[in-house]
Amino acid sequence: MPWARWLYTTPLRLRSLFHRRQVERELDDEIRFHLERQAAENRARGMDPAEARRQAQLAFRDVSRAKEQCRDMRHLNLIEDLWKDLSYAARTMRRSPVFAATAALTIALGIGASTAIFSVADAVLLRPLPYFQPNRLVLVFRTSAETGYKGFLYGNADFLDLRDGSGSILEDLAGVATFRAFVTRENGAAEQLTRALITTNFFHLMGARIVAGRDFTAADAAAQPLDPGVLIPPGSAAILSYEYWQRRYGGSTAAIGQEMRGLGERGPRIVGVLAPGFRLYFPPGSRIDSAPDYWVANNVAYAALPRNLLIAGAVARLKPGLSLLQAQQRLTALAPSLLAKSFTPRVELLLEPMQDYLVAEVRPALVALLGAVLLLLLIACANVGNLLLVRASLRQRELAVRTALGAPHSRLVRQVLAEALLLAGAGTACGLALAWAGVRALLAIAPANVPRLENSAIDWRVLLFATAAGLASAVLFGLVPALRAARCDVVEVLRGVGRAAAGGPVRLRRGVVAAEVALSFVLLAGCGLMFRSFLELRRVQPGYNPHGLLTFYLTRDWPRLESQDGRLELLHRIQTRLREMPGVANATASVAFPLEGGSHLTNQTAPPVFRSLASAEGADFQGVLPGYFETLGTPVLAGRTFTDADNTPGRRVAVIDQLLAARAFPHQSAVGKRIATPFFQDTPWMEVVGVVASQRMSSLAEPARETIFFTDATWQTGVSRHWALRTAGDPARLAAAVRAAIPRIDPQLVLSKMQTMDALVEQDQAGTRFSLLLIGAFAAIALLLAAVGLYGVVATLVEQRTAEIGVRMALGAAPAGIFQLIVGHGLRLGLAGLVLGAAAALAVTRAMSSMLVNVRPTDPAAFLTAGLLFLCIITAACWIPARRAASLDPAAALREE
Amino acid sequence: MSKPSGLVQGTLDFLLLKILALEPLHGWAIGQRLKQVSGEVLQVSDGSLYPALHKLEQEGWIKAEWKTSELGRRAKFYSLTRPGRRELAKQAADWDRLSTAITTVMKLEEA
Repeated sequence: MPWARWLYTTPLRLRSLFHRRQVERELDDEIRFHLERQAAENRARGMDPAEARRQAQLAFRDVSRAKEQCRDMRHLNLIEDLWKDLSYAARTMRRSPVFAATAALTIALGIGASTAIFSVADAVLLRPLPYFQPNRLVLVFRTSAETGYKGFLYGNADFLDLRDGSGSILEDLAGVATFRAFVTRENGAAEQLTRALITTNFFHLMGARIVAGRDFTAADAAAQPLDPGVLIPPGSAAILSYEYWQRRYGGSTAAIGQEMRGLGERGPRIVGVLAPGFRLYFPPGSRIDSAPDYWVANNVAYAALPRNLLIAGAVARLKPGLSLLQAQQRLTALAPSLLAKSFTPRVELLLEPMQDYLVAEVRPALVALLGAVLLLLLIACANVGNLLLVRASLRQRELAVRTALGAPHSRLVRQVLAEALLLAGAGTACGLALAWAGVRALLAIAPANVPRLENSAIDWRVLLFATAAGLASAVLFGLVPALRAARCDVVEVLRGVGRAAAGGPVRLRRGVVAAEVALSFVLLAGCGLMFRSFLELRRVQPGYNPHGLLTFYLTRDWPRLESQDGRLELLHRIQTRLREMPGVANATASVAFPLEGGSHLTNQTAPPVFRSLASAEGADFQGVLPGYFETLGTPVLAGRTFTDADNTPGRRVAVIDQLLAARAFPHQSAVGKRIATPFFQDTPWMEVVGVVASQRMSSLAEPARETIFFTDATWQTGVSRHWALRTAGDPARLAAAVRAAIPRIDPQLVLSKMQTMDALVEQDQAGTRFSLLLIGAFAAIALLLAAVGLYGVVATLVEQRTAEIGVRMALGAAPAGIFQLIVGHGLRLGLAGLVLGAAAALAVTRAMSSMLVNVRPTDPAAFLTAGLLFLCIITAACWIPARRAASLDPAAALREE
Repeated sequence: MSKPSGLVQGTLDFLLLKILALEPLHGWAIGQRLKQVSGEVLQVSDGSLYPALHKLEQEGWIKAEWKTSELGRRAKFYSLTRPGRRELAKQAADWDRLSTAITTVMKLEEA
């Protein structure tokens, strides 16, 4: 049993390591005892004392050699040698600080970049979701290859059909959906919360912990009324999130058993509290909020709601021992019977691991990024290896002399490896500091669509990665110089032949450097393109004036979702009150709002009867209050905008944007014409009263889409909740006044998401800015590495041709000529890489088209700027060694040979 | 190292374990015992005894303790550990098998 041996050996090893003096003394004592004991024995046999001691020594043969062997046996020498090698390496590094700093910084850049990206990839992709056995959690999607539909929301009956029919594949199936909810505070004001509706088995399925009270039981789900306007039936049970429990009830256990109150109605009874930090991990586009404030048990009754009303997302746990593939095959076979009664029977069922779905959108980019940084690290290693080779050729003589004096080859190899280790150690330490700063910077500028990004940190896994990367790179860049040191031929070097013998690696090195230049040129060109698009983005005409606008979101709990009695009157009151506020030039509200990120409704088909009319088919639609175009500063191109009189039920007037006008009414005025719409049973057409400039709704980077505008009263099914104020001065200064004014209009109004339109623009550009900064950082690092690599090659060249240069100068060559010779050589190499890079960039930037705004992937300005910048860097990298060559003293150069 | 022949090298560990299995001894006494049992067959210098002992100690097969020796001086006494006892049994078995095999082969040649 090995552990029994470790019991004895581990303390010994540790003692050898940390109590070296005592171990040494004991060795001395042991051997002295032996010698004295032997001498005593000899004396007993009748020798005189001096002879007795001499014979004892003789029998021992060589005392110091024996001690040395004992140390070897204790592995003491290994540690001692490593220490000696490292301190020798540190001394040589201190003698050439520029080299040491360059090499360590190069490694630091490589390690820093890859560690930072690894820490992000670790948090986002690798770390398992914080649920019970998360690898068995799947979402059950319905997909249709025909229409491209993919969703995991189900109606009640479909959900139950699925649950009851899939028992052989899924251990359990739970439903979850999130909604906005209003809960009244003690002072009568309403609070807007996020409410989750779940099946009673949800927390059990996910493995969520309840810290107070209890989990739901099947009895907690109250029957759901048929009226879809009432989503929480009386007598429901609720579980609070830990955070809401702390915020609202101060963490008091007295809250358990109380009812949550909502607008005079009886709310659900609180039965328990979740453990802190429980999150629903779904991607941002899935309409499931990550942190509901409270959870209500939902009774999924088979006949309670129409089959097509989607209410629950289906989360399932695979049966143990079943692979995803097996489960999918069985489910595909079962699908026709499971969906037989469904509203959409022709879709397929698809199982997708919860984590895969969460990161599907960001995985390719992150993996590409990780690949890119590892490539960067590899290049950094190649560079440092190159620099070490330059040094090795400078020190060839020293190594040869040491070999001649009796240092074994293994000692020289160890020496080179020790230097590599030292450089890698320093580089990793600096790299970790860089990574720490890098992760913080990434978190500050990252776009919001990366799930679990906030978990990125430098933890032990990241430290492990950095250490492994550091060691691997030490081996990578230390290996070639070490092998060369091992092959070092003493006689040849000392005779002076060694200098010329380096044909193969030189060609390899030049290839690596040309490739580096090419790669960094591709990145630099990409960076140039991104920068141009960023500038273009700033110049885009979005169809509104974002400066001087304050936006916010106003909602209230309407007793009935559909009728919303008194809504028009309330909206009018709010608008009038806001317009009266000092500093406000105009106020309006709309159903959707530019750059706000909500969904934009597209009307699919117009009724076929009216195909004779121009149709708004396929256009986006938007409900607004009068004053919308004036407040946003949208140019009116023809006709008029909405008046208060237009904002009455039954009016059938519309404003269309210039894109729809151009398509529906080519070469004629749209004003006064009728346009077909599918919304209203009584009159399937609207009269166009005006044409406005197109608005970029979803993003400044995306072209505007055809849009038809109605007044809020005309449309009725969506409420104008997005408010905007046109202000005279800084819009942010009005925020406090608005907050004070709103409750006085109606205490039930809930105000949220207050921000300036400029802030929305900033958020919209965050993605582009992020890509720009990221590519920029990459380009800068790659450029630096390429410069270091080029320097390494040219410096080697100068070193190897010192004698030749000496001869040329002795024969009368001017220093300027030598300078040109060397710079010319470096330039040729750089230009070769540049041409290669330009060709590669032309091929690669095509793939960037989707990220570019108003810039072609072959934009000459970006390419020329990158090329010029590159030439400067190349020249600088050749300059230093070339100047050294030009200032060589011919006599010294020749003597050195 | 002052090298004994290959056969002796491998055997030295075995002999040391065997000697220490009888009683704990210090280095000098082990050397004496070695000379007694093997006569002049094993040419082991006193100097090469200690590296071998230190190796066995590092392997965890023997352990060392400072105790008062027969002449009143403090000396480093080695004794067999439990893993050492197992190792000795294993080596003894190996040795038995090997010597049986060799003896058999020798007899074959005589026949």
